Amino acid sequence: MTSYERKCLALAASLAAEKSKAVQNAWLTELPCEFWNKYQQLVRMRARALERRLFLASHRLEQSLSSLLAQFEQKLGAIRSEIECQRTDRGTLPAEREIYRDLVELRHEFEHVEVDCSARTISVLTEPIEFEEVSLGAFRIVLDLSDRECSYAIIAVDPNPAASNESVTHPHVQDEALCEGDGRTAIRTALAQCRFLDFFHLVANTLRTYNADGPFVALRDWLGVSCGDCGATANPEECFACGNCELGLCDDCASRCQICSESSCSACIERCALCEESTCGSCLKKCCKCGELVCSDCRGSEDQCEECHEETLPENDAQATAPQSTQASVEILALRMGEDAVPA
Amino acid sequence: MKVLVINNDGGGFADYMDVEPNTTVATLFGQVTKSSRAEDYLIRVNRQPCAADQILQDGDRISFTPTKIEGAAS
Repeated sequence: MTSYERKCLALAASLAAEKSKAVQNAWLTELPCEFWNKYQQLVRMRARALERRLFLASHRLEQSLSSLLAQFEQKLGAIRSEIECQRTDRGTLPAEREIYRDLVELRHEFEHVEVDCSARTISVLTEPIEFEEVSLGAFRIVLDLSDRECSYAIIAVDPNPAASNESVTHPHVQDEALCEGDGRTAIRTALAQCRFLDFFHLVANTLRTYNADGPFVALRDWLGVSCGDCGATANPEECFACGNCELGLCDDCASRCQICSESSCSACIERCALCEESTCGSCLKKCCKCGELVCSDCRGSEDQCEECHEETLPENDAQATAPQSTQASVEILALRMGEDAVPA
Repeated sequence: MKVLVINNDGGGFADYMDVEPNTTVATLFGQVTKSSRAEDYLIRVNRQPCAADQILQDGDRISFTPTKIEGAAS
């Protein structure tokens, strides 16, 4: 027997004993004694109420008893289902030799398999994984058996994380945790039944599959975002989306509106007909007189550009100046001591 | 005869099944997975690779593991 096989045997013996003990003890502690105690208490209270001829109280206690019995029945049903599940678990609970065979077989299926009895970990190494010409490197799957939850980590051996998030080393791995997706139930069942060969196959196969519908970071954005205007690849954190068509843009190609500062692509950005500054479509308004698109800074009134508005000013000025001169003379007259202001 | 069938597709059940003598791996695959694409599965008999026409023996352990499992983001 090799050193590796001895380790496998020791770990298999330990795990089989623990699992067997856990299954044997699982349901004995879950009996619903509190329901039974409450039932007896309500029966005694009802008897006392009847002795004292408190019929209304007695009626209410009977309703409580009925409700309690329904809950009791529900709880017993849940326990019965739980026991059925545990009986199935016991039926498929791998014996020590099955766990041992799984661990030994791991070496034929994966590279660099390590079994650490003191740390109670099993780890395997996948082959280098590549999707759509994005090389992600190999991953070490480390299963920690020291706690009952049996957690595991996915460690990138030669990480090539997403440009936008260094903690994402694989489209479905963030902070060394795999989002199992479709494999979740099968992975959990394999772990619960100590089928470690199946567990590592399931996790490795999930790592080998790319689901474009639900990645932490999509492969097309892995190295950065391609600018929609110039086509250059840029870091997503330094990119902008066109406020109109949502096209991804690099910093050089994003034109900012002088009014609202929103970024726009070259196709969506426009210019004010008067000041000729870059302005987005939302901040431009058509002059009702000349029909030119002008920004808010170049509008003389709500619906006219500055130039058209000025053309209408002389008529308005004549009307506006007359009352002002009257006011001035009134003020001058009022300044004279001992005289009243004379209205025009 | 009785064999242990482990279907790692979907829920991932493991249970004993009664099968007819001379049942092949391909026949059992069709019964258990309802799939016609055996190439999308890693199929093992007693943890060893097997041929589609391999005849099952009493007490065999057969596992079907999908090779394409779609992860998610959260």
